[in-house]
Amino acid sequence: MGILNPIIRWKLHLRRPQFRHGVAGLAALFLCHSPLARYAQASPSEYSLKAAFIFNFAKFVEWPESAFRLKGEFCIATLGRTPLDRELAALSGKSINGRSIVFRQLNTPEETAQCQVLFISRSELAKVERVLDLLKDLPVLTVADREDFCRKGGMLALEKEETRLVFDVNYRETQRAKLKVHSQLLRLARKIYGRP
Amino acid sequence: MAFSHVPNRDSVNNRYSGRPLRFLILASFLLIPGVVSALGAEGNEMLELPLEQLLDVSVVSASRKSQSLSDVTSAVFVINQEDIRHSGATTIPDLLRMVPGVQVASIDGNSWAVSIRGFNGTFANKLLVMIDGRTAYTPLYGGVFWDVQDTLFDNIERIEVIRGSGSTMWGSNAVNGVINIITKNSLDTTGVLLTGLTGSRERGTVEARYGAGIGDRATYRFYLKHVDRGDTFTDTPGAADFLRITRGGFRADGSPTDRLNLTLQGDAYGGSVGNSATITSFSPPFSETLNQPTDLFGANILSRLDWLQSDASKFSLQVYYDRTDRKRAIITEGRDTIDVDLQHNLSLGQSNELTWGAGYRFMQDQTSSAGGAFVLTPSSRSDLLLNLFVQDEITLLPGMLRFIVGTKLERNDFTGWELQPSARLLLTPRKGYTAWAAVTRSVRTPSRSDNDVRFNLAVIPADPLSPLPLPSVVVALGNPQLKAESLLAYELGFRADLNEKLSLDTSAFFNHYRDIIDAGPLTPFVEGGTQVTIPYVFHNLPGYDSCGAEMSLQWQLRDWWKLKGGYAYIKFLESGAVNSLGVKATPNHQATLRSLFALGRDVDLDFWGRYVGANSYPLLSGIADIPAYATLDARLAWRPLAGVELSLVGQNLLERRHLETVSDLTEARHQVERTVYGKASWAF
Repeated sequence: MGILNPIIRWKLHLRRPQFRHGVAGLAALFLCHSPLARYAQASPSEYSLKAAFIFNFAKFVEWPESAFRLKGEFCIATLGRTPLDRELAALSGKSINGRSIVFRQLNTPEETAQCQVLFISRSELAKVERVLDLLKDLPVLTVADREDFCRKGGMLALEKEETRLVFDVNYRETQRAKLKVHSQLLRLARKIYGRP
Repeated sequence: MAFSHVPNRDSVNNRYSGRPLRFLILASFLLIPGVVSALGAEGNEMLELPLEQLLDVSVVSASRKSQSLSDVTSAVFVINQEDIRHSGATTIPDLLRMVPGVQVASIDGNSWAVSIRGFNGTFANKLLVMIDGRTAYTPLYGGVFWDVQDTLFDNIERIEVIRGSGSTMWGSNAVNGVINIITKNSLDTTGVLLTGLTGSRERGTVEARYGAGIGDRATYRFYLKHVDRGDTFTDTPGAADFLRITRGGFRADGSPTDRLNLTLQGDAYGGSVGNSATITSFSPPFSETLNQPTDLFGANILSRLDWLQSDASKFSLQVYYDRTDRKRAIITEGRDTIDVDLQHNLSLGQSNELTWGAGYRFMQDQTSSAGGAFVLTPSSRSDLLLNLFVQDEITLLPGMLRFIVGTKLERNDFTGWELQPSARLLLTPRKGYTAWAAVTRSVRTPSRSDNDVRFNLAVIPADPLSPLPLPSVVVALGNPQLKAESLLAYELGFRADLNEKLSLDTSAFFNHYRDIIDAGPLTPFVEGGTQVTIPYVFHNLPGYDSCGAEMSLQWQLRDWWKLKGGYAYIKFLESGAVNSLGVKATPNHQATLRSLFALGRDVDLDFWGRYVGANSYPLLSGIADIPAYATLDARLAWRPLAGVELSLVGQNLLERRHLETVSDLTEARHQVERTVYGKASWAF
């Protein structure tokens, strides 16, 4: 990581006057002088919705007691940087079954065994086989936001359908990892792989 | 499955309505997109919602229009990553053979005749091909140079093939269909990928790619690819058709805010391909087939911005520059293209979704011809293409019936203003079932050659007994008075997910063409006192019709066994010579069947059978008959370690070799041979 936070770098780039007066300025014109403005409403960001899904998944899954190395701590981790990190970090301190959520950003697949919920960023999915191989039967709930994640051996896949999010469950994999999935989660899933 | 670029569906249902204050803050920040990211994640109210309600929350994103296949009102086939990986194909035209209704025939080892719904041939010109929104169609003759259209196959997200007119959306020249090659977001290609491939004709292909992230909101990748492919079988001694091209490129994607996506990408390639050309001469034997390798160069840079102004309004702006050079003795062409395209999509109330856009393209070419065999006058020309486009999608019965009406208005330097309207109806009686109908008008504007060419087709030796003992020359002549070709198309389609395992897609069409451009003989005249010129001048033909149907099927028989099949039928309704352009290299029947076996998690065994019916190819020397053929490809892949894949592919296994089509440029005929290759890839 460089000296400047990359996001700040983006901002600096965007604030160059010619840029703002060009595209954004033109667009601003549309916003202010058209009847469209009254339809403009802010819907929630995709990432805050995804974080809410992940928080809910954690409530509908039971981990074996052996899964928790640190009493009282429930670890949600991400592998690969995504804008979801910020949303998940905001879950810190909330509780799941009396355990307090701790958020970790992981850098290597080797670290993944230590958490309860692992979100794998799209950018890491090329290496997904290796991550899943390392986890083997460990009780870690794996989540990603690509539709083919379950087919590749992941447990929960979030996908956008039209404007909503839906999710698939790979029941076979959750069983293998000795995770108990609540029937309500299965009922709401779009697709279930290895149906009970 | 997502289907992008069709700007008529991404409805916004504000079930989760925003709090007014938050909306105000957001709206004011939208004018300075960079600031929005400062609004962190504090207070995610959705955390309190139960799962059932989360499933009902709508979100919108700035990414380019994406719509589910069941919402598309045209005959669409999507070649996805599974199809690409399991096909064993090493070129884009070979991939297109799996799409029913697309005609693909190999002319030689580096050129293909590719069309949709007829009018195929060396100069097939009624099809638009785009790579990430950049047109790959050359105005030189109105077709595509397939030898240079390539990338790392693992970079391809999907290829959308639209059969039937796409002109309202994509403009002139998308008469019979559109092929969109869409590459992956660099977010999906991080890490290192190395592949090597070699075989009986594939002398060697090596690919390398590296991708990484910049913070949590941007990613990039670089790639390099070198292809060295050998000659195919030919009876003509010395007619080479090898291909050696090296290319490289990059792509960077970032979303500085949830409402803004930026993409910057570029590619460059260079290399040479073997070509032969049959050149006329005034001394015996009056024509000669010469080996003329072509030197190739190309480079492009493209940037795209997608901005979600509000839930109901979305902008997309794309700008690119493209340079291509082809240096061949018969004709040398250099071309610069600058293109700017703006699109705006907005929801008006509950039932109207409006999309409008505007485009500007500037093109300039420089041509020359050694020996004057293929001359364009003027040798350098600049052309301007302007377009305006508007489309409204009206929901007549929510969730049931939609009506889509729109038009493109385009101005080109050859025929002036052209109007290309369409009307489409989409019926979704229940989830998973879709029926659609469409009427569209589209045009193909004359190409640079149609307008400006002078090309010696044949020399007939002087007859010493005739009163005028001069040699005769058949010359193809361009015609600046040409009208644009037009098509009025009537289409019907039906798609159904019959159950979880079986899905079906059928379409039928009736096409009425007018003013198709063809070269026809006019009265011979003596030119310069040394030759009799028999002019074949491009002119517009009267109307004629075609009809046909296509079907594709996908059937997951077992967890480990999938079948994918397709069948296409086409018939041109006139008889005789008028028909010959339509049926050129276009069989009446075509079928494909793929079988994908997953033998455990680490082994794939795939088979791909194809049948292509008999067809004909009109040449100046008479009609060439192409016999029907059936062939089979097979692929065995094994993944011994995570990230490592080894595969063995056999292509055209059923016979030693077969002829697929012939060429307008050379008398040399090349046949596709049985080949095998091995491939290794390593991702880490």
